[in-house]
Amino acid sequence: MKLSAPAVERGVRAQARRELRESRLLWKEYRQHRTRWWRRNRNFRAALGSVYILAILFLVAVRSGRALALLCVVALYASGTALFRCANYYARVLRGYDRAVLVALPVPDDEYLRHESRRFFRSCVGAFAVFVLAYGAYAIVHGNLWHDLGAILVAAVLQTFSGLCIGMAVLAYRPEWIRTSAIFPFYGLMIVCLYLPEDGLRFLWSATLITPAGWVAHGFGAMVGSADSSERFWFLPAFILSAVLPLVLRKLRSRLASELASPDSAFDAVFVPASGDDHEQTQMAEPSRTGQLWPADIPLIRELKGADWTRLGWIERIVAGLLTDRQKVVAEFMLVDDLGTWSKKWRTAAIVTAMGVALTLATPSLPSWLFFLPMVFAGFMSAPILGGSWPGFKGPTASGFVLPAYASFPIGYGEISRVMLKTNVIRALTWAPLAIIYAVALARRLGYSFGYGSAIGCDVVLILMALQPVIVAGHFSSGSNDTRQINWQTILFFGFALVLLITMLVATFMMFIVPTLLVQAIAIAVVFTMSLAGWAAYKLLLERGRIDLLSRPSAQ
Amino acid sequence: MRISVESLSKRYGRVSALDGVTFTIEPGQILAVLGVNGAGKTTLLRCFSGIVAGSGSILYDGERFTRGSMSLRRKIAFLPDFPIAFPHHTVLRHIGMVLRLYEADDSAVEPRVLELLRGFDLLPLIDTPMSKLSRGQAYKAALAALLAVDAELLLLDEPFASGMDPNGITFLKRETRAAVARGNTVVYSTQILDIAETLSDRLLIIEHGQVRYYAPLAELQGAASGHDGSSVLEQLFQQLRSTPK
Repeated sequence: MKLSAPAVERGVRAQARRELRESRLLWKEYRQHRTRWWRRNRNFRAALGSVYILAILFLVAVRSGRALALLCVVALYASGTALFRCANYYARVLRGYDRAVLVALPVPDDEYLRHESRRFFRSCVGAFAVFVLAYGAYAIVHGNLWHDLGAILVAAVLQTFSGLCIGMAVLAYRPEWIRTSAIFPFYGLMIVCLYLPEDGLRFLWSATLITPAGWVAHGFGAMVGSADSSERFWFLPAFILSAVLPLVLRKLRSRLASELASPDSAFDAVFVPASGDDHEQTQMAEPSRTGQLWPADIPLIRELKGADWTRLGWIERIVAGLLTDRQKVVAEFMLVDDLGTWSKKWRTAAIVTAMGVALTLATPSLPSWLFFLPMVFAGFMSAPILGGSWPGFKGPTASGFVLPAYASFPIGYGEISRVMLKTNVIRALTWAPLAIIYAVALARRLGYSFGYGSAIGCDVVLILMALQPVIVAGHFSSGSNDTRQINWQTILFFGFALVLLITMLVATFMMFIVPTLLVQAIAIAVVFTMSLAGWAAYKLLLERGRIDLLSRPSAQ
Repeated sequence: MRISVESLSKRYGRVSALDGVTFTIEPGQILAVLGVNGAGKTTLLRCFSGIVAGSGSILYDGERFTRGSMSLRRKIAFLPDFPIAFPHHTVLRHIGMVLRLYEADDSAVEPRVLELLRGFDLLPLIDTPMSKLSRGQAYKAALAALLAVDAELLLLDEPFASGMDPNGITFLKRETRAAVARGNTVVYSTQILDIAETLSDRLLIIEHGQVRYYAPLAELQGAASGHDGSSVLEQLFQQLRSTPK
């Protein structure tokens, strides 16, 4: 199915340009609005990014010199990517944006299915290429590339087909079992297995046999490397599985065809927010206006009655004690569904911290940098490292721009800032014990004293709190066109912001380089003053109307 | 295209969007579908286009319409209340795609496409991505694509609340009349009674998914206008409101 008519487009474009050239005004308008073809290549950066990450992983695996590490990484990647691609394919076919666009046009369902399937198989060629590269890298290090070329290709083909077969079989019989998030455990283990001690790696290597990807990796390892040669028979079940792929594909297609035959859900799944029975009347009463050029994440005010803060978690109750009635209204508006999540996130962060501390103290063989990961994760969960999640800054797309939800209502910069600052300070303080405990554990692991660790933990919390004003301003900035609006005020502001940034960086470094109480106190004061100055300068810029509360959608 | 709707019903969970709708439209007519918010206008148009499957039947020239009947679907052009397009497609690519899918992408259509682009003031925007257009511009681009197809049945959901400029609205009205003169049928929903009175041959008023009024416009215009200066359609609406079915 071709989604263009090149001959007609060429003819119309040529004639239109001839006409437009006759009028200077129209030609100028045309040149202002047209978009060059290279700007339309949207997937390029994402593809480059993922290839880059994979390349690093494979390189680390090869450089580790451990044959099993690379094969484990390949097996885990193959399982993860197969599940992810299959889940993505299923979701795209039934509820994808393409479906919503094409459902109103005369496109037969079977043709649409073929179109999506072709796209899916084209994307699988990318996975095949990755397998060829990975097994090729393995053969270079542990075998002979030219001699093992056949094995590399067979393994890559089996890896691709067997993964697809399992993924599609699950989709054909139990689609609810598969989620795109299934990728995370596999990708997480990919990183972990690079640093596992030999025993752990061997265990993980054996565990990969529960997946077809593991069978292929074991078979390849036996054929090329020094692994047990009897394991080459693992190719057999992978081959059988690959052979039944056409049958599984047929079953999946018939399932998808029957689901596509009832088109009701296809349109509404994309353009009407999902809801329970209570909202059916609402959907009916006002056919969705969110049917925009792409689905927008629009905050909805569900209830006219305010939230009962006393029934929320303990962090929320502390915050509520600091907010005035009006500020609670502002907070409820800006938070939408995120209201009530802080305490739950803190609990998760506490569990992650406890596990991280135990791991840090109990496993001396793992590399040090690995222990920072739980801390970073816990920090992002419970501390307002990037200011927290405030959906009120998001909004619908109108006329090619995103309009922040708060911008349409009489809520001021100062009001929102005060709510965010109070909330974030409390959240930072509640995170402080976790950060300090973790910092102490890390310090002990790295051979520093208890006092040093706790001081570092305190410094991190203080810096986070001092930076909050400028982080809050950053949230406003994300919903504006300040970087595109070039006038002397914005130029002045960004010059000023650069000075502030450099001063803050210097002050922060000073805190860690000269760890005396006086220097630290001065540095924190400087960071906070600069942060506050940045916030105030942005307030001036915004409230005087020097920038617009419109931003380009992220798709552009 | 003659359209016969027989006992068409559609439910969304417990809510009945359409309830036994029955009527017939002769070819070469403009039908304005009116009704309060949530009456079932959009659902009716979606049923006509095959996006939504209801019980009962829709016959186009005597042939029962299902989503699988591609020959019929190529005779129907449906534009929802908000144009849906691939954001990265340019205006020209969008038109090209629609022409291709309607199998109308021969070179003979080029002058018609240019005429529509000129009429909707879209000529300077042919190479602009749909995502960068204003709502009205995007609607005009989607409309131009469907008008270029020259489908026998044109279904428009709230076209006059689409953000189009006055030139666009005037051009659409002209194109609608021209399409009907060629024997095509146009069905559109609207809340603007003045437009319904001037741009329709028949009126369909739906309430709670049921047909409350279905008659030629001329029949309605035969009645005297209201004492308070309100139009006949306004009077009819008030009358229907005061006398629940």
